[in-house]
Amino acid sequence: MLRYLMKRALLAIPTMFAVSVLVFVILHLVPGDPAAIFIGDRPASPERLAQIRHVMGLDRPLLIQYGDFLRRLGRGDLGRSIHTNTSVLAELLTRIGSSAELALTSFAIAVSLGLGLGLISALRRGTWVDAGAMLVALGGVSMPIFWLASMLIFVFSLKLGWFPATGFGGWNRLVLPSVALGFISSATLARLVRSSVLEVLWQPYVTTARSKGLREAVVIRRHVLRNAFISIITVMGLQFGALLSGAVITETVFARPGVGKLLVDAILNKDFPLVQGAVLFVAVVYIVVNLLVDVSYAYLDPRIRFE
Amino acid sequence: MPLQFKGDLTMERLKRRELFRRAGWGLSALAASQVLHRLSLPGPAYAQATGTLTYGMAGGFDTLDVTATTFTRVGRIGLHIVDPLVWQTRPGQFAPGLATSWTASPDATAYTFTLRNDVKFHDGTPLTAEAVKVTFDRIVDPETKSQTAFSFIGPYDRTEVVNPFTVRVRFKSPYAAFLDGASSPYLGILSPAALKRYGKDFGPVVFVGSGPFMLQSYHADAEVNLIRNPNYNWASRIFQHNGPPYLQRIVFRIIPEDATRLATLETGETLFIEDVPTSDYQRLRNARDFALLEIPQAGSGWSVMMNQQRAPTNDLAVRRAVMHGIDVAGLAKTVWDGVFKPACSPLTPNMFGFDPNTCKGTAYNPDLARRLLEEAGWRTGPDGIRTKDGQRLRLEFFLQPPTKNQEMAAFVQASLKAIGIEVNLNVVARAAYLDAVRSGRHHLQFWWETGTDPGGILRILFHSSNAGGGTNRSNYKNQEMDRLIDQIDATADPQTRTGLVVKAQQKAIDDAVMAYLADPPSLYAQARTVQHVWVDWGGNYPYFYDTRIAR
Repeated sequence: MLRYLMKRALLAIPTMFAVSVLVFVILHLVPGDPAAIFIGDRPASPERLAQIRHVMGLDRPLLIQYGDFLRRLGRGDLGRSIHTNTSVLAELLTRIGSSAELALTSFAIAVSLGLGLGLISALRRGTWVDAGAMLVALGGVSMPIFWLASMLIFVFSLKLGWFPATGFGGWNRLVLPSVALGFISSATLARLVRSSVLEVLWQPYVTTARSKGLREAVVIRRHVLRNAFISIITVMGLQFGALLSGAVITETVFARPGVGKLLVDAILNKDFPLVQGAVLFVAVVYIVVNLLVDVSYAYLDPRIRFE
Repeated sequence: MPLQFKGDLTMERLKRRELFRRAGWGLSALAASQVLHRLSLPGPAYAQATGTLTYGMAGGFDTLDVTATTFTRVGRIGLHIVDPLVWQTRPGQFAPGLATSWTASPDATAYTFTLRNDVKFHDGTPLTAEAVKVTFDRIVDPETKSQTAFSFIGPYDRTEVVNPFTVRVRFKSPYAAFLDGASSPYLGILSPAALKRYGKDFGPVVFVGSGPFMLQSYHADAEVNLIRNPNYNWASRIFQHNGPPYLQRIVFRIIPEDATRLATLETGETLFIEDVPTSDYQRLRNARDFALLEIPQAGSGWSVMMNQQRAPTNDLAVRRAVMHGIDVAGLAKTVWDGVFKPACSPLTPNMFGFDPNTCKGTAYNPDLARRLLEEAGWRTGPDGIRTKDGQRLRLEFFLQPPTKNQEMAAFVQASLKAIGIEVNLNVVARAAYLDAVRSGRHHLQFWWETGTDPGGILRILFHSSNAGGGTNRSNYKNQEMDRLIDQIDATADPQTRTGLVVKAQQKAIDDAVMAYLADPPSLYAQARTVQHVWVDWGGNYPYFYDTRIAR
């Protein structure tokens, strides 16, 4: 197992290298001069623009710029944003906490709600319970998160005054955004859980378990869920990554700082060092999550071994 | 500490009640607050801090350093942390700030300021002439990547330290607008010791001036915490008191979403918000617990620049037709809920030198627009769009995605279609947008500008040095206009200056350089408990030095 983990960690290095090259190339292929974007609608002579470009280090050959990035990265330095002059690491660190707490709580909501709804509707297939649960899931899939978030603020902040509408820090500021984000993500999960459970529910080994006289709860837990989980956990992993780095709309509506918003702004500003840093962070998250997902396969299905 | 604080509040409440009794209950709430204020000066109870003002800000920004930023929001925060050399009370009228007096050379190339000698920066170091020099020299240093401050400091040459409290700022060419710039937060004076100490972290992490509030903490994209400066004792005489501010803290919270920001005001999470959506204007105007602050914004309102380097907007008749062909009153009503006023000039009506007579030349008149096009040979085709020599009258309109931009552009498109002009909307993200309009691939693009000096605004819009990729995206090059703008910049005499501004305004309308759409007010909303907010006449900088929160 340890050898497997080490191998995966080593494999992560070329993956991240590839990601950084890809990001670098794409950013430079997209039209738009970062210095011109920086100046925006302010007056600036061509000489001034050239000065800004020089200060930003954009007048050097691309390969040298990339080489510099790698050299700094080797020292654990992600550089400074060309837009704000802030160190990229500081920019990331000030947002990771807020993003992580939102991702964790909304993930918990998504998983409990998704598993619950999916399982109930699969076990009560064809009844009104199934229809009801899937209606809720349909609502979650089709409801724009922007709308849901605004409605939550309207009802629970403005009308009832139960929770603050915005900000971060403290559990009460976390409730509304987590519910909005968690509910939307739970919908996909619920539908997936339902179909995966249904697929397993009529397998011969489930019938065997039942005929051995196991209690239904044990049958569901040990034989149905465990087998259905292989496909569910893959999607859960991907969802967690998305919650951590792609909750831009939720972050905007609830006025929370976040990695997603940081990355979008950095891309719009063509802030190379910041985009590189943020993308590397996201890549690390996905690599780690994928690893956890892979490791969990072995736990769920003893036929899968890593050696 | 918390106990002590509570005690202060109780004292404050008692004092307030007592004063209310004296003022008499028959007075209206507004009058009461005025009387209250006068009675209380300089009563010791008000020397105590009385709470936290939470401010809902409409978006994030780049840095806290006012001398480097391009964001008005940073100016709004920064004005509390730095002090300007002078304050502008009315267009062209200045009052002492850090400078007690000043003189300008007759040719407006040198300004000499006498500084207060009792000012200390938040790090304890004193304000001296050297600080002014260091601050200004740093603005023109390319490493600072200064933006707004760089335009405000104009043709800066150097700063000379005459003696520890006298400083002379010299310009390469006449610059009558310098006091206007010096009154903005962007040329506020910074602590040289802190600049040296914090290096690149000055701005992104720390920011040290001599203002009534000090930076306590900054969390990017979330909030900026300011705490009162207990040593502050050098307020300008334009304010209602001297000494430390009444508020204990100001928290600027970044809440980008309009509806959420408004909700926070209603839930009490914020006490003051900026950029109130016009759709909520009426509701808030009639609200019992909230007050709207509506201040006509100084500068140049929303307008359309027409690229003269490309056919067919190189044709004066087409540009004049566009100018007369947009139903601006309808646009102000439809897109801006009647809150913005229809515009008629490159300058907003509150600007120095604005002349309403010139506006007659831009009135909405679709018949005149059609006639102008007919006379210029643009004939209506079978689909209602005009053509001339086989060329279709089709204009490419480049704009960025915000909804209001798109609504305005759609309105312009519909208006112009009625007179036979086809408008194609290209909604693109910032990078692609700037690429297109800087290289002149557009016919039409929006502009909006805020500022209090007419010379600066006219230069940005019409001077040929800003054509060809700069801010003059009409690519308008006219020697007479250049001369007028240069003269405005070189003229300090208000009367002569007014005449020149009127001439330039008229010239821009005669040459149909732009089409003027809507003049926005700055719209803020606040809880009625917030009292004595000062806002500059240009409408951009609410200032909470005199502010108190009633219980």
